[in-house]
Amino acid sequence: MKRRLRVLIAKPGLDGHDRGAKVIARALRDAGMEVIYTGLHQTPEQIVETAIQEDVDVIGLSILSGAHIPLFRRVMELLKEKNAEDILVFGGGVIPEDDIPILESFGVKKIFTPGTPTKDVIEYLEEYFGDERN
Amino acid sequence: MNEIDKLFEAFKNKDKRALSRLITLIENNFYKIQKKFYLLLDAAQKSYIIGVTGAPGAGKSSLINVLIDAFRKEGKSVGVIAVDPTSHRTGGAFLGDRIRMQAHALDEKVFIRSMGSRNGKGGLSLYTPLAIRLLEAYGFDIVIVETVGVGQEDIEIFNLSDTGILVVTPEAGDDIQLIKAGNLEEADIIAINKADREGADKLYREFRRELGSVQNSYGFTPIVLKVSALHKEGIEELIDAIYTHKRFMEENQIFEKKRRERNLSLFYLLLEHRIKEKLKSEGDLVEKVESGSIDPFTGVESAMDIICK
Repeated sequence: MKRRLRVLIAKPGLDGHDRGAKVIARALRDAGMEVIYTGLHQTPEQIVETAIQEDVDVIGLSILSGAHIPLFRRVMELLKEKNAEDILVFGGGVIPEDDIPILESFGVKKIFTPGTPTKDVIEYLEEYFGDERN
Repeated sequence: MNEIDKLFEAFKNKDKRALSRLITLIENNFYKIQKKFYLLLDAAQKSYIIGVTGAPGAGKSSLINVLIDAFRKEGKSVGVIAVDPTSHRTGGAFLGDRIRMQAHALDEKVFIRSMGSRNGKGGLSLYTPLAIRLLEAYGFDIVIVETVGVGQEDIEIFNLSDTGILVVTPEAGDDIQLIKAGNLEEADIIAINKADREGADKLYREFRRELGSVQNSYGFTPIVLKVSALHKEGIEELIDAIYTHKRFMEENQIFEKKRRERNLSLFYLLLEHRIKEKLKSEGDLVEKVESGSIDPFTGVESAMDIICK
């Protein structure tokens, strides 16, 4: 039986632009995933606690405010504290190419820069979890 | 100790992640844990279960958010299951109810879980009753279940809960005939949310007139109230109404009756599940019925042979 992926799409910090997050959320739903969307202004603590309660496979963070480095760092720290490092973390938003290696060093698996077709995100996730789903 | 045993052990030690993982297992691989499930539930159903239903946009999640506030002030722990519709076409779901409840995300004594309906009936997932039992076994004082209910079939939530709340808005006036035939009479409490809007008083009077002498199948006349989740008005009265209903049920031994009925429902649910699993794992009867090489009637008799072997 094919397991449905559970994905948390979250917007940490002060950033108030949620169109991108909602576009991804809808696309993932249309691809058969269960998407939990928690709205704006979430703290890293709220995001990680939500991820645990909802037993998600994936966390996608959308950050357009420029505060991606401290926010991603904090989320990855908390996931480690809670023994939840098995959750895949990806990101999107306004994130300069130069910062991507820094985020990857925290354990973030992939950053999808603006303009990435939603189908790329879907394919990435399906491929990553491919074997485990059956 | 294998994986599953470790999970159950952690659950007994109140580990939140174990609770969360078990809910996922219930949804995806129930057969892996069903034989062990009885180990962590004693038959006593200890939590008070409140069902909240109503049309999309009625304000169910916002109302639940203020209910959580109120119960937390009383020192009670709250578990919430929020069910949203699964797309028949894609199998996916957008689970956005918890947006309205995120203020409680870090409260130790609150646990919120979103579930897709996965095409269960009455706007609920087939696994909702099992998830409720799990929250009860974990030890939450109150369990709140939220679901979308728009049709006449959606009374399932009222069977699953001790007190059922139907949330409507002042604009629902036109839909009163639609709602009436279905879940209006089965609701224990009808909350007119967004009561600051025009039409609230009129709807209130109309409901009181229609339902004044009506009794639902347990002999309780639904309590009608006006609330505003946004302005946090009418909430005390809503809590009082819940306790009034609870007392009514205790005094008339309906509590026990409902819980026995729920046990029976759960028994049938689990039985169906077990039988399906067994038939799928032994032979190709299911495929034969699906392809039409065996008709359903003959199929059932063959199934009985397999099961009774």
